[in-house]
Amino acid sequence: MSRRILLIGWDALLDVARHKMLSVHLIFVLIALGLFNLFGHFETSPMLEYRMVQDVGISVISLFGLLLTLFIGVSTLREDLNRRTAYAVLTLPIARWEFYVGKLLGTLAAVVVNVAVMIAIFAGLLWLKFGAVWHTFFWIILFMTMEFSIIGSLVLLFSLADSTVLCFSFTIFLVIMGNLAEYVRHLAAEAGWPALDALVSAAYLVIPNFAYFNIKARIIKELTISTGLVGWAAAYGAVYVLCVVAAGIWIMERQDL
Amino acid sequence: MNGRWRQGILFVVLVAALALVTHGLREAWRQETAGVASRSSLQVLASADPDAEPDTDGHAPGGEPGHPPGHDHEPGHEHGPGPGHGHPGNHDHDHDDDHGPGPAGADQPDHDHPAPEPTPPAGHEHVGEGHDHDHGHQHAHAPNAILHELLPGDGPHVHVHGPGCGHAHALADEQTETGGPAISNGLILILEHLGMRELAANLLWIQMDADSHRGLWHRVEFALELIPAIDPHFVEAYLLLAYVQDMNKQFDRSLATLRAGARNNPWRSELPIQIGVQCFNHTGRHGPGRDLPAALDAFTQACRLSDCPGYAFRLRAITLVASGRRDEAIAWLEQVKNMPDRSELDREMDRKLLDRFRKGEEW
Repeated sequence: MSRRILLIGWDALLDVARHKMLSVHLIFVLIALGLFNLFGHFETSPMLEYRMVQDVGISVISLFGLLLTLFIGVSTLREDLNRRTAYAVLTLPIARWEFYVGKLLGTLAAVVVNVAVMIAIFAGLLWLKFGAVWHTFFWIILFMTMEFSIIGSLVLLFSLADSTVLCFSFTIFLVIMGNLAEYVRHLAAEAGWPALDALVSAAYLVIPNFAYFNIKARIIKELTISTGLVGWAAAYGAVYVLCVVAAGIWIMERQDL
Repeated sequence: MNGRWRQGILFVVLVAALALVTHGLREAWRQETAGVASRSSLQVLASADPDAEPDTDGHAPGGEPGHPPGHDHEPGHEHGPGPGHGHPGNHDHDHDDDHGPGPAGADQPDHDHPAPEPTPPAGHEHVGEGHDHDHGHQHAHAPNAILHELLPGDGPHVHVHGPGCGHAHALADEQTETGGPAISNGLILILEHLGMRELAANLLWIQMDADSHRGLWHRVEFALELIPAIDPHFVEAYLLLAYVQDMNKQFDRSLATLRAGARNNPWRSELPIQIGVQCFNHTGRHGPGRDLPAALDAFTQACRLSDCPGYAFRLRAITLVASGRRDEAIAWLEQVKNMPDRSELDREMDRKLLDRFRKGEEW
């Protein structure tokens, strides 16, 4: 069982790696990160320059990481269904849930590799320019990976819908709502209606709260990250992905392929 | 047990697990970000009142504000630019190496009034000393143990940082100020929570720099008010905004801006140092209005922080002398001079200043 899942996952990862879209994205990332040299002309202070470069670089990685996750998530399962290759695979003694979980693992592996590559490029450029890189980059990789894993699993779930546009729309909507979670909760609490507060709290059980994964500000400001936060964030990411996978399997088992 | 039941039980277990970890993560996040990251931006939005009364927290018992009433319009004020700064019209950001280890005069024996000069904003000053950690090093927020013994009890704004202790818990409930105009709440919310807060603040800083070179000062001031509202940790923006306000003779607003910055960034020493300098007011620039207790509080707070530059200790000693506590100043500076992590340059400066203290020089 696990061998079949891993095989499908590996195949999905190779499929993503072969995709031209990935290369184009990585070139965009390189250009965007390379542009940080333009900030050198300020020469205000080494600290400010480093900070500006780092801010811009991490934001670029965050933005491109989101786009990459979206494209990877859509291409792995949706394209297989569109091209009918999934049907050929499913005629083999492979359960639908195994196929789905394999695709998810492949997607997540591709996302992790992409984030790691972008961070490595950025860290290399920082090293070239400043001769130093914060070791806290590790935390950025970890939290970004958790965030993109949730997004990846959501894209895969939504890619079971018939339309790619719907898949994109749902995912983007959830990403925005997830990033605004703390503010929506705050506003609901301030409204003074307990029912609304309860409704929003329930909604944010379903909608992922990405604010918890946004530690860029803390890294950039050289603040410490407690192991407790890391542990809870990892647990939240894992359980959320499990829930999404369960929902995806449930839908896929009932889909009329 | 049929499949439907199994699915139901699995569903309940997953939802319960999700609720549990959501609650746990929320609590962990709340503890981690208490005071600085979680609440400050909303408070910034609520507090952007240009006519807000300047805050006087942190002043010595007696609660005198930083400047006497009517101070803003006091005739005869002379606000020369800080070291390395020309007129705002000639604003330039390349001042890194213009300054010695301390404010001009504070360490020069031949200077008649070696009280602190108003220092220009960070990004313009004392890069060469005490700021070497900016590259790749993580701040050690724990204060120097010896210093902790030397300094008096915790002041109203002092926050001692230890690893993993979080930040600014004591400041969590305080009102944040920018001393600026109301800013579009929606814009800030969207930028901040799409994870682009720092990027937006940096882009504004770049725009501000370009505007300053074109002499568009109204836009510069607006950008400087907007930047801390978007990113409360952009210390350079607080310092430059306070400098511009000081140049415009808005002394109370300038002080309020610095205090807002210090509340949002209690681990950075530049802001309390600048507050101390503003309150100290040298050579009668603000006349008898100088607020020595507040200056002493600010310098004391700065000296507790791990990134405190060496000259801040001398500034505190000078403030003690100016407050009529010469013996205490001498004893303090002697102890500081003998601190093991004190640089040779600082020790030399300390010695010179001690000589001047003992000769009875007044500030």
